[in-house]
Amino acid sequence: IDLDVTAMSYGRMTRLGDSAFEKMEKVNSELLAMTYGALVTAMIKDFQDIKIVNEELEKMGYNIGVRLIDEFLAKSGITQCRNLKDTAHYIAKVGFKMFLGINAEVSWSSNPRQFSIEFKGNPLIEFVELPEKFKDLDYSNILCGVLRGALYSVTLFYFLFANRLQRSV
Amino acid sequence: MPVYTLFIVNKAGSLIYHKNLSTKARTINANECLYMASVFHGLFLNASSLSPLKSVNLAVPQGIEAIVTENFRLECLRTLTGIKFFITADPDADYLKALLSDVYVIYSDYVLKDPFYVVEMPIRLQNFDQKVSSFIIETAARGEMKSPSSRPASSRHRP
Repeated sequence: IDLDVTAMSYGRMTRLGDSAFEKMEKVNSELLAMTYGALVTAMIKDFQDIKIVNEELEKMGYNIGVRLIDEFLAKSGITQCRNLKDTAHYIAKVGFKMFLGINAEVSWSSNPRQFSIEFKGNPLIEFVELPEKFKDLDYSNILCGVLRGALYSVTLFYFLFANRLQRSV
Repeated sequence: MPVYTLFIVNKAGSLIYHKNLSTKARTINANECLYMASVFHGLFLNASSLSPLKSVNLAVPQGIEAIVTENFRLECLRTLTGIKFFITADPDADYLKALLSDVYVIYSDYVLKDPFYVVEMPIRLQNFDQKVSSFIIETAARGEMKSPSSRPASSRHRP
């Protein structure tokens, strides 16, 4: 009987994330920060309404996510998650590390079906200062969209996804 | 060249890519190809109910991994996103599983990153075509050298 249930410890996941990050093609993080900043600025100029900009960023992220998930699965070699805990840790330790070089942590709420992923260094917000009038702008909302798109492509059942971004100043 | 044909089937069961990689592969017309891919998709789905073993983790869809006959061998990789990559080859080609994982990586790089490609639609990208053909033919040639039938010949030439 070939049981393909590999119990990956969280330490192994971190190492997997690091090795996957090593193999990925890299681009200058300042280039990414600049172009993303230019994109968000252009969107604000076009849409004027911050709420719409947030939504559009999320939609863009969704379209990226449905394509990114295949690259994530192919390059990391991950086959399955046993439960939600595994999913959370794969996203934080392998996903964020592979694509953005971010070391992320998972923290659980009292509700076992709810978790949050926290990280300190965000390459997208390099050089960015938000003026007071844009305090409702979810600047990195594209990341929420990417997660939603990626997870939507692999789930067999539909689950509601609530993303809340907390900016740390 | 022991590798014959590569097929890629999307989540819905329709063929999105097929490529004959060897002159020995049977040439089939496009319609027959579509039909056969859909048949395989159906068989794949039914295989899990035919299996005598109950799957432990229901999240991972069970299906056909390999079909081995006297004349050919078919291996299939089903990704978590529902895409199936399957390849027909010579019966003693044993490198197919690794080859399919690498084809998955090439798919994620050359197909999904093309901004004009719509996911789940037929793949008509020259880049991907060339890359995948050259990769598979190269791997097949390397694999051929390692297979037992060719070993006596190479050892003869050793000084």
